[in-house]
Amino acid sequence: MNYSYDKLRELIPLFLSNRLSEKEKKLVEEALNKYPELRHEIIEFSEIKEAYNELKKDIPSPSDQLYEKIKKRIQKEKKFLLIIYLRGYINNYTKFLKDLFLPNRISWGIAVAEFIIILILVLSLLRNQRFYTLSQTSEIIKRGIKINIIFDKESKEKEIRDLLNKVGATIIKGPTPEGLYTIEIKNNKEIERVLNILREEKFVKFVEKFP
Amino acid sequence: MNNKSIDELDLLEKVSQGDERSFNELFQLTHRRVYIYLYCLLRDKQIAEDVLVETYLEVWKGAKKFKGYSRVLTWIIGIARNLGMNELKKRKKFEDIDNFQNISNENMFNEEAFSRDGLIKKAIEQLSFKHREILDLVFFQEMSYQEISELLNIPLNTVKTRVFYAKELLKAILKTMGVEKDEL
Repeated sequence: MNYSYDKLRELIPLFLSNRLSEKEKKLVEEALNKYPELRHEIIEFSEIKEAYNELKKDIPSPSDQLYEKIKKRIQKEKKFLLIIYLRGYINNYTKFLKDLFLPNRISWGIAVAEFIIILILVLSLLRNQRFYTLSQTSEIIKRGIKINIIFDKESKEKEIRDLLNKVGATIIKGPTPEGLYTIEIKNNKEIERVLNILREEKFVKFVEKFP
Repeated sequence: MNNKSIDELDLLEKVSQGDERSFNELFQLTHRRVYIYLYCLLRDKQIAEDVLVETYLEVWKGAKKFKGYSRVLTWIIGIARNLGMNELKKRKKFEDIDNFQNISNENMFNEEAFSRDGLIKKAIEQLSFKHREILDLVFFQEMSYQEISELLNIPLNTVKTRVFYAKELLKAILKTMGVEKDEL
């Protein structure tokens, strides 16, 4: 290794601060004998280094509590990061829910409307508001031929009883809120005759054999 | 890379994985030199300590970002330098330090002030910020030219020129202080 004078001169400060390799150190030491100018440089930088050593003594020592301070700050930072993380998580979750519902607003609206209708129907049933067709009832238990019949609203009770006695029928159910009665006759063979008699009566609005 | 550098690198790798014990070791290994750098930069113990705390907080958070292009200590001092500069700007002291001329008169008449070392110390304090900083890095931090170049982000040749120019400036300042010898 062959260093020029300028290169060796550059190395002087590093020689004093002990930042040279062994080889470079040796080269500088040899050069000091060879070049008196280098000795001059080394004396000047040595004085600066000496002054720095003195300056170092003037620097107050750092506090012993520094690491504790840093540790506390790190703990604080960790808590802060956790809050940020949770906030981010909540925001993402909210966004996910929004994305899920908003584009399907109409479908969900229809579903809600259907649910409300079903709820109203269920509540109506619970309040005994039943729906019938005029040709049937739901709770016929007795034996014999059954007939559904509706009388005129103005007809009198006596007229109805007389008519039923005439055809040999008894009321087994009714009236419903619509005025529907279910009557029964014992004799199967007489069904057509009975139906004809009933149909001829003016105060009978509807009559039909129970299916 | 010497053994110390390898230790620092090994510790920093563990710190990047969240190892607090290694962080403590790295702190113990490096904090004094970082503190000296900050003290020279800021000239206030309390502020230097506050910036040091911030520096190591950044080291803890940014350990994963270390690319290994420089020595770990150089990287930490780089962080400290950025934070210290921000502090200086914040306190508007930057100009005061850069044009530092207000040599204190209070010690001018004591024995130390008239000694050769005392005068050189005063002369160092009168150097411009960048020239004082480069001598700080060579003689306090004992950094190589390459490390200084990486830290200050300036070319290697600029570092060398600046070191020798700082010495010439010191000589000129000493001359104005009445020291006229061949050396310094």
